[in-house]
Amino acid sequence: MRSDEAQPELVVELQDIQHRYGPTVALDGCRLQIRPGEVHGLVGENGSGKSTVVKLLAGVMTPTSGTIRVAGKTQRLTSPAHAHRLGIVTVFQETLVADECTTVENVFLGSDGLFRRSRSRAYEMRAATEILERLGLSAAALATPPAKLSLAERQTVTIARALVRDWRLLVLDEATSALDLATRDRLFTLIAEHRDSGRSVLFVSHRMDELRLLIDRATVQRSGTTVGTLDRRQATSRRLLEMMIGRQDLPIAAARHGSSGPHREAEVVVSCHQIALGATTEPFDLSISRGEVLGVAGLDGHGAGALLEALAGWRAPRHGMIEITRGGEHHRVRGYRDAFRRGIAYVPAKRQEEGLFPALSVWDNLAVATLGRHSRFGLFRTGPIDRGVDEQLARLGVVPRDSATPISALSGGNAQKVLIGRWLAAKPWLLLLNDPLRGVDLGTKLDFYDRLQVLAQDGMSVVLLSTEIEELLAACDRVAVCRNHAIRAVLCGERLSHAAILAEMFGQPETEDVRS
Amino acid sequence: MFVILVLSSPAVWSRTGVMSLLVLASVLGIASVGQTWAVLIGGIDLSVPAVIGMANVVLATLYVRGWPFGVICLVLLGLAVAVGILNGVLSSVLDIHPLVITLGVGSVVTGAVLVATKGNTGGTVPAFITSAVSPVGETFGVPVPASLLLWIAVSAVVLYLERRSVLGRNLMALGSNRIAARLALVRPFAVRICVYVLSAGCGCLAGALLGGFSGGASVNIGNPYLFSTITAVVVGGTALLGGRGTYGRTISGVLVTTEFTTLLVGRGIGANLQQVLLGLAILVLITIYGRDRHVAQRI
Repeated sequence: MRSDEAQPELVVELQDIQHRYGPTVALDGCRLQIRPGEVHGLVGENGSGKSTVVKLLAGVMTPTSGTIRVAGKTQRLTSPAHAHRLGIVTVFQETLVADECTTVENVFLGSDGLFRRSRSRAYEMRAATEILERLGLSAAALATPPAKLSLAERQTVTIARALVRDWRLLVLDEATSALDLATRDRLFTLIAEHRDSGRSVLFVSHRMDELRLLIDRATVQRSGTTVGTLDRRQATSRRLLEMMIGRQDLPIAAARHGSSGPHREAEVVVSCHQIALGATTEPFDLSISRGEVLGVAGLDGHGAGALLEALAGWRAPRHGMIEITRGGEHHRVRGYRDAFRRGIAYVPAKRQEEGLFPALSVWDNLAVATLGRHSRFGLFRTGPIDRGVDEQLARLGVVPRDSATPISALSGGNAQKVLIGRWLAAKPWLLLLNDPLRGVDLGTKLDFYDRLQVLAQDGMSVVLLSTEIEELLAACDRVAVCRNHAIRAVLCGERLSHAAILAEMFGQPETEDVRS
Repeated sequence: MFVILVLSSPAVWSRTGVMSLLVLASVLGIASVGQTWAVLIGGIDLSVPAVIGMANVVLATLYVRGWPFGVICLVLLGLAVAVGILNGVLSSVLDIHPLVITLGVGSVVTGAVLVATKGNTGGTVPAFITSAVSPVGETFGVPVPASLLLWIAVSAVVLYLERRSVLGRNLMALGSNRIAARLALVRPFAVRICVYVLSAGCGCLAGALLGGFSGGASVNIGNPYLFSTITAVVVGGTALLGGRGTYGRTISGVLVTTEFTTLLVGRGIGANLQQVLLGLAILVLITIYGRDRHVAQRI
């Protein structure tokens, strides 16, 4: 590899980039070099500046100072359209799909002029169908309005939207976090083909297994600064984590296997009697004990999310009854507000669509659900609310700590912490978490598992839906596995393992073998 | 802005001049309260002028028939609540944009007033309302017009509610993200009703004050306030998409808009050209500081 100063072969180069949001320094001394025909990993904890790098490359923002070179030429990326013209396309973590358009139209959204299509409709249909099929979306899904697609399918659409462009550099910002494994593998195959044809990919992910699978080189960010770039051989999970955290002593072993002591014969606080999530799906029972962390696993669209929404009272099950038991008294949950009043809190899955108030401050985002508890005649007292907000920010380690910061200035992981804080501030005894750690870095995850254990020891019950099996193994006492909108198994103790969860998610391995 | 105004027409720089400016501003300011909140929850209230006209006519008509002022106030309050509930319920239940709903309700209100009065909308208003909007008026011996004091009081209450009431914070949340607001225990239905009732109430107040200018009544007296309330909100910097802004911004928007109009009138510019220039000024102001970064952040 040549080391002379001008490196014309680089697809994109960032040099000494600094970027500020007002007084907050998001990036300082950031360097990045992407070669043609490589998959380049970008890793770092929440708030390390990854998302800012992505936004700079996407043309959403221009850096405060520093140079961006595209194909050797210094450029000011002033708009996403400008970045596209230079061959940089970006897929964001948030699944931005226009519900008003058809799925196919979404693939070519933004590729056309306002009044003129650059390609014929037939061509678009063909190209969109082809790319979506290669990513594993069925013909039926193509005809479905995007609003009815699952989270994974919506993400697939946003990825397809990027792939149909004429691109030199594809930026994937946590874009695989909602994908199911099969789609992810198909995407990786596609990426590998594009790489072999000389195109480059910047891959931002928290998943070490994905990084190991895919990348040629990786650049590590720590608190806004670039720590270094490793090639494939050097970039072991351990080495990357050390560079991200900046310490040698890793708490990696803390991923303790669920069984924190002998399984307690605790009191049952929630019991589901013969509930059915769909009109024709099998009914099942489920009970949740005081002080346990119950995991919920399942492939996307197999009822895991619907189960949480039913427990939260947001969407009643088709049949059956959910009964809660508090202090010897039994109640049926009557809707969402009733569930909340009785101490059940639900953290929804789609952070942007269902969680955050982008125009408001951290304070508002955190306090919104509990204002009524501290108010008389509709006027609230700020004292107890401020204390509650500060307590949650401190406990969850939100950066920055100042509650007057606009929520839009926080990184994804910190915004997620604020959302979890919103519901913890309500002091619930049952906390329902719908995939809360999607796109959150490992350090935060380990902290969060510890927090869950502490809360559980204080008597709170937690239901944790996660798409990452490792996460369930690390955080949960028991794991319920959903398939076809019903719970197929509740695994605990000896029977709780990665392989067992996978087997239940996909159905019995024997039947799989018959087909192959 | 104020400096330009004074330089161009020095007559304004007198106690009476400043006071007449502020009296005009106070009527617009009171009428803009509901518009601000309606915009904050991501809606809009186009029934404001109709409500102003209604209050104006009802007050004058009933007063001329010798009804006690207190009873008339109760009637107006009842009407305001009715119009507000109608706006809130229809925009929630029908799930149609409030633009359409409030325009329709406004038209119904104006029509109903004309039917009820058989088109005979004359009358007189109490003398103290006339003095309340008089630039040389006094309030309990203080040389300040009552309408200005009323505006200050209303502003104080509204700003306090925005900061310290559950309703105030909930309306920001609702305007910022509807789905998340429902999941965060905000009651969209209740918030909407509160907002539109407040809007109609403030419209009634403004309508009553306007009666003081003319001494008589007209169902169309509120018409200029459709454009000017929205102008004041937008010029103040509250985002039309909802969730971002405060009534405090609208206050400055009201002052700027009023000064600008006075400036144009002072230069002897006709009503039609005024409209043109006011429209241009809004476009310029919005380009300068009304831009919403939020949309750009989300691509």
